[in-house]
Parts: sequence; C-alpha cells; structure tokens
Amino acid sequence: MNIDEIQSKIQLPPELQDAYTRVVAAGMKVLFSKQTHDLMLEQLSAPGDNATKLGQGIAKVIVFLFNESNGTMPQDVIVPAAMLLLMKAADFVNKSGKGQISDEEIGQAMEVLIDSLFEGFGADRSEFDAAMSQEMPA
Amino acid sequence: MPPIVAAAAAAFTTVQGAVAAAGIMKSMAVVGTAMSALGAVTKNEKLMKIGAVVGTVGSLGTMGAFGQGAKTLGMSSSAKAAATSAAANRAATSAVTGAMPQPGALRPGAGVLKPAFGGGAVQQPGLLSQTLQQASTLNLPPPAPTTLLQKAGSALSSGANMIKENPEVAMVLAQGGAELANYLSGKTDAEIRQLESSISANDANAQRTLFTIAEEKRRRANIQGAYLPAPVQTAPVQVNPYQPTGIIAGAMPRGV
Repeated sequence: MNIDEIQSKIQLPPELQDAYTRVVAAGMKVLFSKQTHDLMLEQLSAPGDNATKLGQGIAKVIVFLFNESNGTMPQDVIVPAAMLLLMKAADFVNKSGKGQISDEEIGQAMEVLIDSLFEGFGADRSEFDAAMSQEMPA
Repeated sequence: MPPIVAAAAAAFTTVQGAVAAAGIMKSMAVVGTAMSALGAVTKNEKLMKIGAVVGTVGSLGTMGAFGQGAKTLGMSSSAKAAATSAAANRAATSAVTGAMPQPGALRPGAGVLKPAFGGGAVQQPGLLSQTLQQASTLNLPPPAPTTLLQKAGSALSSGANMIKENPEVAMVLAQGGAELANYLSGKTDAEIRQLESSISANDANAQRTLFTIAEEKRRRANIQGAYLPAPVQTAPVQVNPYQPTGIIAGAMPRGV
C-alpha cells in the first residue's frame, strides 16, 4: 500500500493543519523514540492478530497524547492523526522486518482503531452504529 | 521497564467522557475521503462505507454529532436542501424572536418534493419519512419556496387548487407523455391556464408539461380552424461546384 497516496487524501481544514502536524509528530515520537519504542515493540510482540494489536496500540497512543495535552488536543484531529500513525507503524513493521502486515490487515486494524477510540475515550457509539446501519444511498 | 515507559503505560488508560462521540465522529468526517481510499486499497467494505457516510456528513457540515447531516442522509439533494433550510430557518427564528411559533406548523410536503413528482428521486423512503417526522416537530412556519424547483413542487402539492382537487395530477405529471396529454384534454381552458401559471420553468418536468400544454393549445387552435404556421426547418442550400447548373447545361457538350 502506498502510504503517500492515502496521506494525500487526508486533507484537513487549514485551521486544523498545525494541530494535526503536531499530534502526528508527537505520536511518531511516542512510537519511535528511544524511551518509548519498547512499548510499541511490546505491543507488537504480544499474542493476538496483527490488526488488533496495531489498531489497539495506536488508539492507546492517541489516548495517551490526549491525556498528556490535558484535553487541549483538538478533537477533530484525533482520527486523522490516528489513521496516519497506524499506516506509519504498519510501514515500519514491514520495512524493519519485525513482521509482515498485509493491506487487508491494515484495513482491519483501522476498524479496530475506530472501535478502540470509542472505547478509549469512553464515548457512546450508538449514534455512530445507527449511522452505519443505514443502507447507503445508491 | 524504564520509568518513562512505565509512566506512559500507566497513561494508556481510558478517559471516560473526555471526548464525546461527536468529537470522534467529527474527526472521522474530516478524513472521509481518505477512509474510503484506504477501504478501497485494503478491500475493506466497512471502511469504504464509513468513508462514504462520514464523507457525506462532512460535506453537509456536521452539527452536533452527525446531527442534521444524519437526518438528511440518503435523501435527494432537493430534499436535503429543504430539510437543512428548515433547520436554518428554525435557528434564525429562534435567534430573532426568542420565542417559537406553535408546533406542527411545518407540514410534510410543504418544502419537500413528493417522490412522484420526480423533481428529486427519493432513494430511501424510510429515511425520508423519518426526516419528515422530525421536520413535523420543528417549530416554525412553513419555509417559503426558495428555488424554482421547490416552487413548482410546492405549487403542485399544495398551491394550486386544481392540483389539490385532483391528486392524481402528480402521478400523471410524473408519467408524462400520452397520459399527460390525455389528462389535459379533459380540462377547461381556465384550468389549463391555472396549471400553466403554477408551474415554474426550471424543472425538466415543468418544461415537459409546458411543452405538452403548448401542444394542447396548438391542437385546440387547430380544431377551431385557426391553424398556426408550423415552423419549418430549412437547411441552407449546399451548392455543389462540380454539378452542372441544370438539365440543359448538363446536356450541353463540354467545350462548346
């Protein structure tokens, strides 16, 4: 999967761009910095399928960043930043030889990520589920 | 485990109620297109659906969680416009007067085209009826028709007395063609004029109706003996420079 292609489609309003960049940078730091990289490796080596581990792991990072910002992180950038971090992490795993995550697993991980974000933030997802259960317009 | 890792691990806990569902869904709406693209690349139908749904909502502008966007999900563009303008009117009324008019003032159909009229194809009747049900609880007077299309729909559904007294007209208009001509042939001149004046000219159905009315007028005029000159399409004459100018010239031997 071409991350750049997906990344180019993440187009945020100008007023969110700065916050988005800062959250992604902070997330990358958590994922790859010397001090916290072990957490990511620990998450990846835990039992379970790649999609679940990846999705839950990124959701945890986002919740962590939100907590660290004392709730000042703009909520509009939560999913965009999480989405990009997930793809970056998958790309890292594939390129570093730590494992192999297929495109299908990335898609499943994105599903897990959304579920985990609702769970991690303690948000009521009934309205989301209702919207998803609607039949799509032709 | 290093202290910082332990601290980070401790921080990876849920934060109950810190972010409302609205926040997450709004942020999803921001990346609707990317979500669809990711779903397409990874062959994940659920992601594609999420992207499509939140993308639709995002393009309408989120209000609340999915808010008004969810209420108009699955409706035609005309119905969406009517529903969203109704919400805007409510907000404006509330802001200006501070008091709400009597409930139930908005009649279903006043600002939303009937499916049979064909102005906006209703893709999900269930959702439309839900929205109409929600719209009926809005506290505002019926919104004035803003577009010619809405004006035509409003006139046909509630404006013209003839339409009110002849509910089959919507179906007839939707069918068009011979049925419409048959329908019109049974009407008086006054009824024809009333129908003509009640239809705006910006909708395809309206155009078709006006055309058929014109045909009916022409037919009646012909019956009365006042034959109207039929428009004749004449193509400009193309002169072939290599063709002889006439029979005689063509029969003449060359060089004479």
